[in-house]
Amino acid sequence: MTERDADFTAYLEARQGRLLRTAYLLTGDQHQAEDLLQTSLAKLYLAWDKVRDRGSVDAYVRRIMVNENNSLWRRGWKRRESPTEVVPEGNPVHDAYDEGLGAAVWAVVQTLPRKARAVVVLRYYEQLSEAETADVLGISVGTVKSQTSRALAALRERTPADLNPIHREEER
Amino acid sequence: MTEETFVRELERRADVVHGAPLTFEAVRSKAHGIRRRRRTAVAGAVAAVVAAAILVPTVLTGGTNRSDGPEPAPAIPTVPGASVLHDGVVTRPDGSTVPVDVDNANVTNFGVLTDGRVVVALQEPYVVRVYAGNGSIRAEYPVQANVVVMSADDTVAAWVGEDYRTSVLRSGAAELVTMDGPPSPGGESPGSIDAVLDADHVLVGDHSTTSEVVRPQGKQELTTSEPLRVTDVSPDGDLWAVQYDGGPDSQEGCAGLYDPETATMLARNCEAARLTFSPDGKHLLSLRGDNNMYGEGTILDLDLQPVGSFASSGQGDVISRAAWADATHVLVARTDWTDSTWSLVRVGLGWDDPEVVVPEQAGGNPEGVAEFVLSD
Repeated sequence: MTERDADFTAYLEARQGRLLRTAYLLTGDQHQAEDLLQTSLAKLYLAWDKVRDRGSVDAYVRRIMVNENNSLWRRGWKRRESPTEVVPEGNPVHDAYDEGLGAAVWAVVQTLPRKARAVVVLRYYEQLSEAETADVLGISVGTVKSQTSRALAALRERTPADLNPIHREEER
Repeated sequence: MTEETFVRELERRADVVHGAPLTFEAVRSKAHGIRRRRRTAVAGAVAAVVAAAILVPTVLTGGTNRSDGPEPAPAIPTVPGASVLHDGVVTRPDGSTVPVDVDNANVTNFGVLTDGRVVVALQEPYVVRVYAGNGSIRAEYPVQANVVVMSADDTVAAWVGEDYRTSVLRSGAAELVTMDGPPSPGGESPGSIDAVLDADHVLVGDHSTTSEVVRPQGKQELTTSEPLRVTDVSPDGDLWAVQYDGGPDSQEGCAGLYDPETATMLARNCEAARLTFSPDGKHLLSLRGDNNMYGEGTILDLDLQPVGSFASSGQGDVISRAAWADATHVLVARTDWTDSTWSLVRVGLGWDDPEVVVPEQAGGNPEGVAEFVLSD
């Protein structure tokens, strides 16, 4: 194996677990996440010589993942999902630890528009700063702030009232 | 609902995700598939033509230095070097020639399709003219803008037709295909064709900003990280050479290397302009100055750092045209506007080891004619 490929393989082995989890949060589906990750890593491999600063590889591959996930082509290929104002119905999974709040939050996350969801995942899972998130998504810091604010507001609005911590606090 | 709730739930959902580990072979195999899809359908036919052109050393190219050794990365497509139009003859990189009945003073620019046809943009008549490989005129198309834009692999030529639509001539195809035209900068002025990705994807704009991708199905807005104009596309299609506004202190704007995949500007250089990729995509040529009178020529690496350069002494010696001969050499048409002498030389990546291709000779005033026009 060449030095270049060994270098890439080391990165692949070290980071693919974490990247898969990010891909899952972006897509909400394990199979789609695995596909997204493989495609993104393949594109990273093609561009490996261009990413001279090894410290920026994570940021580079995150950009690929987000763009790939947002792309029209993939949206056409995937089953037709569209954002909705309504939390999906069904039998909510009531986790013992939080009386179902987590499941409700997750259901709401899955209704966010793709780009807003990417902002949320990068800010709250990847723990990127607003500036770093803006850089990955190719948008302004102001847009990150407004998207984050809207996403939080949407979450508050759409979470069933009886699971909203604020509401429950008032009941007590 | 607090941010902490959010963070906790995302982490909890993510923590239970475990996939089968991806192997290096699986990723590389996928990469090869992506690379194949990116290439145009005619890539196979082109490769044969290009390979032949590269392997035959000629007076114009002197062969191609491909001393790369084993290369683990997917093969980088190498595209043809420049052809030269001089005295009514087009000399291609493989040394073959095509007689074309035109005066260089009447030529705006030209390209050579991989099927051998020569596509020339003319001033008078205001047309794009297509010559067959034997020099006979095949067709003539009235235009709104007499500029031909070639794809990186020379399989497609495009221009703005008389009807303001994007005209596309594909190598091996007899008939034009037309698509939506570029956006007008105002009035009846036509917009610009900035780059041809392939026969089905043409980047267009208003001469200052590349803003749309024109496809047979229609236009699609192009979103970039900042306003920019694409000036060239790398042979593999992965990178764009671009120009952007460098602010009031920058006369010619700034040049950049842009990754459309991630919408990221990878490198910037405000001392460079009119970037064109080398046939292997590993270097770029920058020309600064007025058209036909460039005072500076620079060869840059992919960080847009200078590798070699030419600067006029200010005594009349300037570059009329320059273009890549092959992956490691640049063809330079030199002229001296004080005595209208001309020569054609070939220089290395360091803008060194000049090799005279056509010795100095008298010619026309460089303000009115380019004695050597190099293909786009």
